[in-house]
Amino acid sequence: MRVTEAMIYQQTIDRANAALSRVGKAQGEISSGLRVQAPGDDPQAAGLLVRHKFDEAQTTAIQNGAQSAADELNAADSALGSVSTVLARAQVLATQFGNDTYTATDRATAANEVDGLYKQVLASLNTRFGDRYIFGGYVDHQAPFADDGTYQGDTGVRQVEVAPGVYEDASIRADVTVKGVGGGVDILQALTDLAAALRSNDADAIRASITSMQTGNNQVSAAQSQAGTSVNIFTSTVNTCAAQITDEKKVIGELGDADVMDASTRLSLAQYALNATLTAASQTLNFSLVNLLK
Amino acid sequence: MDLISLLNNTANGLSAIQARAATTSNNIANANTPGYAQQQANLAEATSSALGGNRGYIGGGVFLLNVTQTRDQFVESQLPTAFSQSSGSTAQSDALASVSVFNNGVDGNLSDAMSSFYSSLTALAQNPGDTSLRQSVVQSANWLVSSFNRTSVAVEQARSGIDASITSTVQQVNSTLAQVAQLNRRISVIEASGGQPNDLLDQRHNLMDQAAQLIGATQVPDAYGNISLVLPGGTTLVSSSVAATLTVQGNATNKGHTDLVFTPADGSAPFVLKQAELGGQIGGLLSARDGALGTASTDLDNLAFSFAKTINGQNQAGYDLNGNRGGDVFTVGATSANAAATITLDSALAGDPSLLAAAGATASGPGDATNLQAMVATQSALLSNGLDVQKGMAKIVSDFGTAAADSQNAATFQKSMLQNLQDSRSSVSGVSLDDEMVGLLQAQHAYQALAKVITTAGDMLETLIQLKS
Repeated sequence: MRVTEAMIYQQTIDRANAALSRVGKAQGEISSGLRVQAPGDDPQAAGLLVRHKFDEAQTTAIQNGAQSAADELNAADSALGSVSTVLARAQVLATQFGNDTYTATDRATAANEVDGLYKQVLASLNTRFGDRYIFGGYVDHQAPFADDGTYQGDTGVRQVEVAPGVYEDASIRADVTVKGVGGGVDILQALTDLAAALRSNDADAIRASITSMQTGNNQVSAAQSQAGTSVNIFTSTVNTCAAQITDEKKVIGELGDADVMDASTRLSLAQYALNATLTAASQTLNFSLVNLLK
Repeated sequence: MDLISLLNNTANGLSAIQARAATTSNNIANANTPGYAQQQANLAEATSSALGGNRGYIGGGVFLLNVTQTRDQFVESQLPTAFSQSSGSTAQSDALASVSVFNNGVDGNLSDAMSSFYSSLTALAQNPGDTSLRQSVVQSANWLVSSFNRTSVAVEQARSGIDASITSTVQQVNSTLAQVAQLNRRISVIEASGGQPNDLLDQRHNLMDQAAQLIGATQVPDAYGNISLVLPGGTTLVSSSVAATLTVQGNATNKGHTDLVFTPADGSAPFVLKQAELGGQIGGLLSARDGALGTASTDLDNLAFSFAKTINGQNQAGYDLNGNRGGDVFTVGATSANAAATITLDSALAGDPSLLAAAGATASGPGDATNLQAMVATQSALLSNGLDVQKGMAKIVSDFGTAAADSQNAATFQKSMLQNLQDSRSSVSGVSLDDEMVGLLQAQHAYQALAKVITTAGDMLETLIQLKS
């Protein structure tokens, strides 16, 4: 092939541009840390990156929700633990003052203690987590129990997502646990009745409340057990989500992050090619009859 | 032959050698002129003179036969298509590469905004009565809306930028076509009288290369030295000395983007050229604008519209914090047209996050998130395009990426093909300074030799003159 100077010039420009383009791409990968910067760099990976980042965000949201639910249920468990302690004390008082050896004055004093226990239970059941009441069902913006023990919540059980489209109970039905709906004991009423029995010096009624306190405590224990199960599920969800997020990050990194070693090698090769192109061009262009005839 | 004839022959030779040197000089001067083809001064042996008495012939010297261009028609016939395909795929690739809105790592892109919206819904579903979480949903919805708007605007700005490029390119095309038509007329006149208008032929070749690059025009020569320029779709742009004109006009059905209108030179009715009928830079630009970018724009509109309708429908199925039926979350038009650019957050919801209908029943307390859970589940619901939100967004990105990668690969391949053909053209038609220097030395030596002949003939004449005296 006959070679003209214009060909050499053009080829020098084209090859230098190609080498510069490779330099720019490798440099961009190194400086940004991204292998896939534009969708055109790897269309399939770019599409998968969108999906995996979306999945990561959703998994993080589920993890956060599960953690909040676990924290809230732990708070509920703690509150129920306090109620259980109070009921145990009330049962002790009922057992003690159901004994006929106590006088009316002794029982009136005990009634005052039961009044205090009632207030403790009320305070525990009106516990808030953040700014929401945790025992009111869906009605979480006001205290679920009035001073007289009236339940102001509803029967709703809040649920929290533990996997896409899968939900787990995240609240305790206080109407069942505390008010005994469905065949149980109304704990607050039982405490009120005990206090009344103590004040009225009614030994039979005092002894009868022992069973109520025991049944109430069983109800609370059942609710704590249910809360514990849910907490375990939510804790497991948090851990599972953490593992999934780690996996997603790994996949995202593999899909989109630059291999710095590879990019550095390509950068060096491209720089070498550019240097070689320019050196070869300068030598070739000097090798001309025009120069020799000077 | 007498000495005077000898001097005449030598003088003719000097003239021919001067013409060759002049051609060499012209070649050297135009070595880097675009479109220039190396010229060759063709010398021919002059008619011999017969000697009397059947003693043979004495040569008549040399004369300049003509000056011709060196062009390889096999290579030249392939170049218009190569120019068209290379500039078309390069224009398409460059146009798509300039769009960065779908880039990975761009903070606040649409997929980030969409996942943030659903994450905020998931967070709110855990505590739907929480005012700050409701405000967070409104903020993420606002971000999502502005992200749809920004993405759509970025895509449409890229398409409008292509419109501007097409408009300026059309002016170049019209100028090129008019010049080719004018050169056709001048060349045919000169060639009809036996001339060889090399400079005009070079100019026309250069313009035809430009026409191929700009709009993909191919060449159809006729028997009279004219070259017609024809679009890939068969529409004739230049016929002998008559050129058609191209204009642009907005197309309301394509978001106001420009159409290319062909106005025939014969006065017949103008018509719109379709993208498939065009090549070169304009064809590539139109392919980028109405192909990958047009598809992305439409897909964004469909996604925004379908997503908004789905969320609105779910919100209307629930009840807000006040126990009232939910309303719209997003405001979109009656159809998907321009939905991504015009989608807004419902103004009432924007001002009052309690209007988000989280509850599944009117009498529920603020902790009821059953409708919100259904709203979260819409991320897996199939939209009008048969894909869920996540896959819909991924498809937009990967489709655009595929088009960008394809056009980039095509541009690289076509550029390589064009470079090979241009090298072949340069190999045949280009000016080699080494060749020219050798030719110049050859002419110089021939000139010196002929000058020596003149000196010798002069000495011979002087000798004769001295004999007589």
